[in-house]
Amino acid sequence: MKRIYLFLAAVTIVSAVIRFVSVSQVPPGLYIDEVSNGYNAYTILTHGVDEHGVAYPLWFEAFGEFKMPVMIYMIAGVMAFIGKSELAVRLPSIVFGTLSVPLLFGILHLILKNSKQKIEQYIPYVASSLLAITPWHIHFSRGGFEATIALFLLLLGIFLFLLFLKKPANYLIILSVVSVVLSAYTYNAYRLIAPLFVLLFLTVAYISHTVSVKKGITVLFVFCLLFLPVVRFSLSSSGEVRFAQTSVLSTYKSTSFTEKLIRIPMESVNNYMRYFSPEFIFAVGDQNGRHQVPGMGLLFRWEAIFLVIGVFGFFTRKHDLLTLFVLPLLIITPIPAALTIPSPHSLRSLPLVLPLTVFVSFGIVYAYQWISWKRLYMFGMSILILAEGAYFAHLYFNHYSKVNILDWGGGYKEVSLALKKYHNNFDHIVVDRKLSDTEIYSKFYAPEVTFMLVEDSWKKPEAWKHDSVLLVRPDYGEGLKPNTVDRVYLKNQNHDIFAKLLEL
Amino acid sequence: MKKIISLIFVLSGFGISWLHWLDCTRIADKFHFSSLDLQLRLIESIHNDVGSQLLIVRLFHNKLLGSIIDIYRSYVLFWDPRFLISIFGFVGLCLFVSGVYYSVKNKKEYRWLRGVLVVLLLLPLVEIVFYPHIAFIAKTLIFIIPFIIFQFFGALKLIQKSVWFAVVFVLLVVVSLWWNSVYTPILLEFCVK
Repeated sequence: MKRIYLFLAAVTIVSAVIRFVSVSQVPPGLYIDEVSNGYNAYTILTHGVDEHGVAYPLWFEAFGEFKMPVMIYMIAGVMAFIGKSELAVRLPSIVFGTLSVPLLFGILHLILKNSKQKIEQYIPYVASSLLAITPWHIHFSRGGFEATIALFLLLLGIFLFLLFLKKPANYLIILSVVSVVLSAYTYNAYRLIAPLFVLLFLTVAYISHTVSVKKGITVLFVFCLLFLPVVRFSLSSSGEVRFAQTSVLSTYKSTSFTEKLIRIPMESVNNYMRYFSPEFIFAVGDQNGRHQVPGMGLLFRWEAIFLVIGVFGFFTRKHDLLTLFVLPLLIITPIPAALTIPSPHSLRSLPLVLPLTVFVSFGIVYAYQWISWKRLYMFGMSILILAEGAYFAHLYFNHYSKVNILDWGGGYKEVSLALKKYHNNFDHIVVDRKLSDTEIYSKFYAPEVTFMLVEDSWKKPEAWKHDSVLLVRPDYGEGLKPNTVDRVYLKNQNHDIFAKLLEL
Repeated sequence: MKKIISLIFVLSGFGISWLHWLDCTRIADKFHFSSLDLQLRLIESIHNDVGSQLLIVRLFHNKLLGSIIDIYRSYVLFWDPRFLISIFGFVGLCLFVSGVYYSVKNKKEYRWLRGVLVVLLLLPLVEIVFYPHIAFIAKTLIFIIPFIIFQFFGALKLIQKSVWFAVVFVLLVVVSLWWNSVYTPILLEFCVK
């Protein structure tokens, strides 16, 4: 037992260090949703309202759609202790991303500790260590992504349910359901995943005779009660906004009904298969600069061979309880992502990291069992992990913040800080609508600054003839004009000019 | 009889999908290694490392490592389920997976299949590195033969296990037919017409 606690402490510390180190610099700056979450959390904390003046809302309106509440209230809680900062926005994701690692250990340990195959008892150790260093999970834990917290809540729900199977106390299954329902209040994709998992829990509990029909109905009632607001929201016009923007349906708006009937299922199946493409998992990810480091996949390249061994090894032996959790995670989690565009989408399919990590762990352990030269195998594995880990670290800490700065709102923070610096020197400030994101960024970084957004063709009005005006425009590399007050540079390799501040 | 039925399933899955490939002149560029692409990427990577120690730059951005990474990327593309479906159909992919599964499970019994598996694993490398020097039809046939062996083996094993699998195969053939007749854009990702 002592050995387990020592391991858990070590793996949690390593996981925390990897997720915390230089988190305010890499990823380079807050992206627009993080800033919006941060600002809403701040107004909730200070005035009890969101940015639109709604008191303690369940759904937060932002950019014409609605955001789930859990992350924003968590950030508000963090801000109560450490104040409004970039770290505060990312801290919930970092903490829950870190805690997912020991939680995965707990789940696998509960399932495999009495495994007939003694070697399988090492799988919790391997899997949690792997999750701690997996690029996919590291990256989404370091940014302010709701998906990381939702994944933790799903894992917690599974863990509590497994405890319930061991010791059928009512509070455990209720807590498990609450945790899974909370995941649906955290990230959109879980609106579909959460009910499927609750149904799975109830089915497993009923088959294993740990719940009676009466108790099952009570649990289902609790779930429905808690989940009802999500259903109402999803069916409302506000809840459908996001779905309308991102669903596969949106690409076939103008086509006929029969064509939709044929094309949409096919498109969804095609999207679904993309999540199992080795290119997506091991080589390039979804190629969205905000979702992974260019040049890296979601998992390490060396894991591919162990994934194959692990899948074949896993299915050639009997793993009843583990199969019940790994297979649904593998099959269900890409479904919400497959129904949306763009696809594949590594953020929406984040829960897929769990079954893949479990299969890779099985592969590593089985390969160890089969190979005769165990020391050489361990040495080779260490070299592989260190080499690709170092390559990933190099790309992440040296390249990512330079190459992908624009994916993380590059320039807008600097524009807001420049406005903060100069706003007292001018009577009016106007910002070109092409830089409209400055609105939300300045609310977070420079709330004292007020300005208006104007079109490209805007001219100084006659009424302001004697007033001083600061105009902020994108800079396309024109020469320095005499009325230039300042320029905003990007922190990339070329120090590109992002915007110019002109005095009118 | 079971052998004939298995062969019919394999060839029907393959035939339905392969017809579309006849319009192609070659496999898409992303399947091939390009030294020019590598050079450009290395230049870009090194540019982002200005100010870093020379040893670090050379360690992470060199032609050897870059080639391995590029070949790896092209190699995994050959195992994309969508690519395999575009050649063999849903039925072919399922039969192939079951063929590999049974050959690995009974490794002492089917030792010769391990040899075929090794050939199968190495064949994509030929396409990645030597693609312009071998005729399209010739190399695709070479590439397909080991797959067909595994599919045939998988179909045979499954039908020997239960005749009901034949019904599943028929359904999969229908799905493959439907997929390939209606949904062709998938092919455009993998081949140049």
